[in-house]
Amino acid sequence: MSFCWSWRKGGRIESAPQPGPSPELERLQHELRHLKRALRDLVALSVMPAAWVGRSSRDIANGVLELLFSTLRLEAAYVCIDAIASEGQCEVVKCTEGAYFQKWIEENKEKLRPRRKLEGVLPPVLLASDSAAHLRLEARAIGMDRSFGFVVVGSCRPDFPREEEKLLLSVAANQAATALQSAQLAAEQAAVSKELIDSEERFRAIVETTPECVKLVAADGTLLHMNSAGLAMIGAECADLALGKNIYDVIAPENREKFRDFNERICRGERGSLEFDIIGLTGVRRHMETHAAPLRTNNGSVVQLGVTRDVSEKKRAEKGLRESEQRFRSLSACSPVGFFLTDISGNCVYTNARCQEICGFTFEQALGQGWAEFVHPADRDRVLKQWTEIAMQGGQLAQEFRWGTSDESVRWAYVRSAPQLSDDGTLIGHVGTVEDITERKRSEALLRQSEEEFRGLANAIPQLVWMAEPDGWIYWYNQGWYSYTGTTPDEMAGWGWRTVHEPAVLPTVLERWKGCIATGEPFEMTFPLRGADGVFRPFLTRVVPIRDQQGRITRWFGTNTDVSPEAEKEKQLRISQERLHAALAASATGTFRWNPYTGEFLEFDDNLKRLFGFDPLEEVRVTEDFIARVHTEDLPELVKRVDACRRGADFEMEYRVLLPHRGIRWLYDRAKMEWADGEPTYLVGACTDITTRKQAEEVQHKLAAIVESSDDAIIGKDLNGIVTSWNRSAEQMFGYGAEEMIGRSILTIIPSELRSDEDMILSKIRRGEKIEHFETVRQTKAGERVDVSLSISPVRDDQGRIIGAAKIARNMTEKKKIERALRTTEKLAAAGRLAATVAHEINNPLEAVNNLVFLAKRDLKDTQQASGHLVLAERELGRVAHIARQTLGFYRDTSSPAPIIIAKTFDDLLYLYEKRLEVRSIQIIKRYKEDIEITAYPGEIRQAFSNLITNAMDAMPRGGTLVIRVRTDRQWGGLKSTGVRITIADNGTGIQPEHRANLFEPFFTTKADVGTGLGLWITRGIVTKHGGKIQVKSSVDVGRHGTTFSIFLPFREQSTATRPGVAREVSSGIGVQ
Amino acid sequence: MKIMVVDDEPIIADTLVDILRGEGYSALSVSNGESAIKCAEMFRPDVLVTDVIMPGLDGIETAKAVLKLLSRCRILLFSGQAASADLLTKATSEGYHFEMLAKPINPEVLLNVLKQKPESSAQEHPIRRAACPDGDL
Repeated sequence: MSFCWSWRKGGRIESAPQPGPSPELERLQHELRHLKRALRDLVALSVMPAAWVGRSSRDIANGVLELLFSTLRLEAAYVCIDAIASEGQCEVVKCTEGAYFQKWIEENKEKLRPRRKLEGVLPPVLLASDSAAHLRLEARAIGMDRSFGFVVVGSCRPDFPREEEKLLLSVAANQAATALQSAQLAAEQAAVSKELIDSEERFRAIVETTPECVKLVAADGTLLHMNSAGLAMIGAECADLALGKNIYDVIAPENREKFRDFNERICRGERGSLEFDIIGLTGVRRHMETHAAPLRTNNGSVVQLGVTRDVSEKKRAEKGLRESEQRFRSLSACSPVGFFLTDISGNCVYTNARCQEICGFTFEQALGQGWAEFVHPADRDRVLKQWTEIAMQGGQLAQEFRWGTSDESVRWAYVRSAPQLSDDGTLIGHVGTVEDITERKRSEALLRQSEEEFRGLANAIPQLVWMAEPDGWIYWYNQGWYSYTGTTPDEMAGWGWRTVHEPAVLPTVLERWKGCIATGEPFEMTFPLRGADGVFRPFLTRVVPIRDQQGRITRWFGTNTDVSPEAEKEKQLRISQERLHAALAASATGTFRWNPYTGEFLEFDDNLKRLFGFDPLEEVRVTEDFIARVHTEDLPELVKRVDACRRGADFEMEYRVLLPHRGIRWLYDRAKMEWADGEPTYLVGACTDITTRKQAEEVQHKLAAIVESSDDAIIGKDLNGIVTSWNRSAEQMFGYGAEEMIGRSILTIIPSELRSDEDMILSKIRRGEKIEHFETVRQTKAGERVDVSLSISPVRDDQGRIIGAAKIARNMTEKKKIERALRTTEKLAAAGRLAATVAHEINNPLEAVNNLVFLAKRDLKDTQQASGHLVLAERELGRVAHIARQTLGFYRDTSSPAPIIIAKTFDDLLYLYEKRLEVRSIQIIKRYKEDIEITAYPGEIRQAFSNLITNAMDAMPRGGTLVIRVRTDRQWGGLKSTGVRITIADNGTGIQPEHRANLFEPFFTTKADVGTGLGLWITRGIVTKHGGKIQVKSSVDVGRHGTTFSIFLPFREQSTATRPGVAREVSSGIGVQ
Repeated sequence: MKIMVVDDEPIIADTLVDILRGEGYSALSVSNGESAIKCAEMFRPDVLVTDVIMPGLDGIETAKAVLKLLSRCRILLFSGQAASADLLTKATSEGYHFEMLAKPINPEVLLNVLKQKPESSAQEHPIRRAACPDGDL
């Protein structure tokens, strides 16, 4: 309202006096125009800030200026905008009339600036000195409290500023403020974002330069980011090779699952760390340790921020430490020296195996003070006391003491310990060693003992003996010295000996003795010594130095031997006696001279007496004395030979002598007849003791007998596997004779594929080990395999060296045979079970065929040939039915034995096989008595013969001759009962020798493709049932190959043979007549 | 003489009937026990030849049922299975005495058996033996 009013007060009324239409109307129109314009300007102003957004403050200032000029009719305008954001202060000025305004502003803006509120009309400003026009000025602050600056506008119009102009100016200033505010905001935001960018840049730089791997991994394992250190770790040459790929691929396969779990856990918001191995892109394995935290990304998903370190080196170092620790343990475990560690207070914390061995405790027992229990009771208190002191005060231990609580197990040990210091010199415990010195102690004891023994000996001998220190100080004399000189040890100690010397000789003795002490040379001199009786006797004195290992003299050893003539004589006598004894003892040969005619011994020396067990003082004069001692078993031979001697022969014999105290001595006696004047005079002979040799021989014979009679093969071989002995069983088992095998390699009997076994065996033998019950296979000369169980022991010579092996091979084939038989039985049982189940299936069709054949026969009665065939078919069917019933276990042959004509049975069978025999061009020679008849089970006998004929046919695939003989005969061997002998002979291929033994066993077949292996087994069963016997002869030799089966069947059945059949009949339960 | 043959295998029943007819007997074949009992009433056989192990009613049950109808009917069992022996033992313990033939049986033998008098046949060993408990089947 004030606007309108102020505008109405303006001078327009007088400046626009117009006639015409109602001035009211005109004025209204004018007003309307003004209003329209003001409105338009307002609209223009109000949209301006939108155009200013994002502009600099200068642009805004210019914009405001132009706007004001265009909306208000101005002569001058000035806009000052204070520094906002990074931009400095900015002023724009515009003036239509020259530069005076600009000048004025320059002069007055400082006056304008400090004003708190710049609002409203300023005092008019003279435009110029030559002009009367005043510039009316109006100012406005931009923004609150002039916070953005101010604007000053001027016009020379007297009505300036009009109300609407004031309004427009205010709005313009306000709009400018708005624009500037947003500009400032934008600038501030820019600054902030720049700061942000800078900080991110810095962060990136840090990430890029850190030696650790920094990575971002999505929950599914996608690698979002990875720094260059990380890329280097996984061996990626550039980021593209890794980023966006799945990080699991670079994890070691065994750690992938673990890492996946870890990643997923982090992405669920947990923090954590993990150790794992990576293989990288290039397969280089590193051990890593990662610390990770969840990180929420801009799109809201959570990823893993992980910082990963390569700890391979650390791991390696740890491993190295562990290894070195392990090495220490291994070293200490195998160390020959016992080793222990204690803590600072002396409690044992570690002992090695050797230490435990010496001290007799276990690792656990030794811990703490536990070891003390194992110290020998006599030493325990002393050791404990000392150890406690060392543990308390530090210091070193070096002690010899005993371990073990019983005297049997006692061991001497030298125990040393030293404090163990850490790097900085503080005590951390004690470390010690334990050495077993039991042996040393023992030898010391032995030494002492031998020293004592020596002194005992030295006291016992007749010489005077003494010992001196290296400097000649005599510290010991033997008893002989004191007895001879009659002195006491006190008198003699050191140089006291001088008192028993002849004063005249003493200086020489002393001089020479001292010389020897100085040079270390032996001393030898004869000088007189005074005896207890006061008489001087010459003594040969010898002194030798005793030296240690370094050659230093440890003592002098001296003897004084009485060399006076009486002493000498005594000595000679003793020596000759000793020699005599020695000679007698050394010679074992006894000699004699005997007159065979008178029976008198002219000589029978002491040795011979000894050999015969006579006392040397006994007289052996006549033959009877001698004969009484000879073993009675040897006597006849001895007498015989003696008789021969009388006829002039020499004598030589080994015989036994019965010693008085139950012993037997073997003597070798050899004698020769002495001749005189062409006549035999007496027998001269010598006897030696050969008992030892005889005993050795005996042992050897016994051993040889054992070896030879053993059922096991006993083989000796040397370390190269060359056979050195080969007993009879070995010959039988392997087929090689001893003469063939001795000197040959044992490999001869080892199958080629098992030859490596021998190396194993020999190496064990060389180590002195035994091999027991080693089950293996050996090969005979014929190439057959033998299952053997070997026991092999090393053979040593007298010195204990291994020189070969003794091998005992036991034939296991028998055992294997039993196993095989067991298996066969199992097979039979299985077959039996099968038979029961198929019985029905076979019996029913047989019934049907039986009926059909019967019908066919009936219907074809008129056609003679066909009906003949059917009769035969029916008979054969009957046999099939019979065999099926028998084999399949349901029905047993219960028909009673009937008379059978053997020849007819054969003819029937040959008729049946006629076609097959023809095809194989087998010629049949029948040699049988037509009328031989026996009582038997016809079906079974037929079956038995049929089996033999078919076998013969199979043996002659390329033709041949089959001879069938039937004749009456007596049974061979035992019973001699009469019966029929049937011989079925072919000249076919023959049966291999190794197969003959198994021929009659069930399931044995050489015709794997056609045979059941039951034929001969059944045949034998049938023959045996009839009280008969079946035998086979076969040859595979060229020119005479072929097989002959011979069956004997008695005319009258043995009652024993029929019984099983009856028994079965009863037990079968079902039967028909 | 009228003979009824029961066997679950028609080829056996039919051929037997053919043979029996050829020998002048009046014969009828049926394939199971139930039919046998039904037909027995009408056909009134003098002899019943039946398999033992059959699906449904076994031969011994059939024989018992037929005997109820025709007490003078002669029963001949024939079987190819060991299991028959157990059934027969059971029947014997119940007081029945049946003749038993083992499959496969020669038709001639069967004809001979038929020609024999049933009384003497009933006295034959097999039946007594079937009752013998100490058989080691």
